Amino acid sequence: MIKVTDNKNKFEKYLRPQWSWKTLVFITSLILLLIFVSIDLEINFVSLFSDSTKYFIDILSRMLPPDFSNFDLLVYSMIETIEIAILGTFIAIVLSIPLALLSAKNITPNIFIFFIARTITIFFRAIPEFIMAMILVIAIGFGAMPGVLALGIHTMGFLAKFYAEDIEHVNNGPIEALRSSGASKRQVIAFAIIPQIIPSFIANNLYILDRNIRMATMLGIVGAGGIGYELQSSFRMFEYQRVSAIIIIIFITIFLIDHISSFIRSKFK
Amino acid sequence: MLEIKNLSKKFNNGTHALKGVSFKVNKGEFISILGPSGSGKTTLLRSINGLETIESGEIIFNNKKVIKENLLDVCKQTGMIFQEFNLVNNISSINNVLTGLLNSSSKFLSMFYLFTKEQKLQALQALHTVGLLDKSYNRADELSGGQRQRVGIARAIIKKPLLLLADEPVASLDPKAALSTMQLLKKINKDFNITILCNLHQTNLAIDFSDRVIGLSNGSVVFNQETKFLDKNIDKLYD
Repeated sequence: MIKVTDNKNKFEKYLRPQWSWKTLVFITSLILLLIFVSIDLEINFVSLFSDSTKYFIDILSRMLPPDFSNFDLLVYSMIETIEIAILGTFIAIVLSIPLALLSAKNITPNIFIFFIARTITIFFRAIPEFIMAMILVIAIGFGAMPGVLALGIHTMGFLAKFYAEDIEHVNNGPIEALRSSGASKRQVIAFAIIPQIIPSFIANNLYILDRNIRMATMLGIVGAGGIGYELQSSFRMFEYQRVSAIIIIIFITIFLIDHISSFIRSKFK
Repeated sequence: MLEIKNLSKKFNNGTHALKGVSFKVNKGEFISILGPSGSGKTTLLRSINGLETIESGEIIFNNKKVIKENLLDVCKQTGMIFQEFNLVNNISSINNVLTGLLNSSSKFLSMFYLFTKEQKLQALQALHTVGLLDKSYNRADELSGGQRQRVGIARAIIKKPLLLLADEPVASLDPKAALSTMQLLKKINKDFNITILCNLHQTNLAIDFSDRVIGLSNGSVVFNQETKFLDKNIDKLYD
């Protein structure tokens, strides 16, 4: 059997601490950074719990019980919100596919096009859809259209990044095999890359749909359609019981979407 | 020390992997299990330490019937090595070897990768046994295939098991690394008196290194003979 006592000294010189000094320095600096940030922002977590509790209880008590009195209107606005998200997501998917093909390092035609495509995706990701919706409402007026466009253009930046990363991480083996048999670049993309990224393509699109539904609930606040308008007017009228009713409807919607999308994802392995 | 009695296993997809397999293993033996892909070798090995649930039949390990409740005791006394090594690639070799001791480590401290000095010396000793002491602090993915399998072996033997289960340990290695891995297994078998049950594809390695060969075909044992009495025509197993 293996005995430690035999050559104890021989192995002792190979001992090293389980946590290297680099790791310890990193953890210490991270803690110092968090402390500094909290002090700089004048955030005191202790007083948050001791002083603000009664205000939390106050607002919560005014939100309960939820007021579902005009349920039909709320459901109608929620459906409108989902429709805005679906159309926005569709626009994002269509626009982001060419962008992704141009901004994936392994298949981009040249470094210049790669740089432009990547800059476009970063630019549209950098502008929050909320700001984009405000600009579009001024440009094309109230309604669902500015909401759809804002979501579509903003999440185009996200999806292009996701797709491009998936394309960059595909297994290289099949690509080499097709190249060795003389396949063209487009044929390689069609036969070796696209089949490999289908599952994550589906998963990313469903994630963006989920995200867009959540974001679309807010767009009504700036007049870009959906349940956000009801939410904001309830807040303005101090109808907190209606606010909680809307929150519950949004929660149920997202809950259902989450289960539906995990079902769909399981079908596209 | 190990007795398999009439073991059967059917998978949910309808594959009948094992059909009434029975044999006995004596302490200190080096046994090779030969058979084509799909003959049930892997399922057989994985049934012994509970990676597969058995459908019917019995496994008697160290005079005790293996049941769900004492499976952890079996795991404590058996080590396993795998065809694809199954190392955690982005941690060091020594941490990979130390995972072999998690069962007997502090549940709290091990969450922070902390082990006793004694355990770390044991890990270094195990790495020395497999000839990789100087690679102790290299990440597993920096090692070659043969070296990775050696780390896998160190992880399996650090807890001083009674039985080592080797599931196609050399199938992913080049011939030279395969040979030295088999020599290492033989050395462990002799020096530490660890019983070895080894799935193999290569009949020549089985003949060269094992005391006894069990042939498995289509879920049944077709022969079970000491190597020196072995029928030279065992290749018919693959027909």
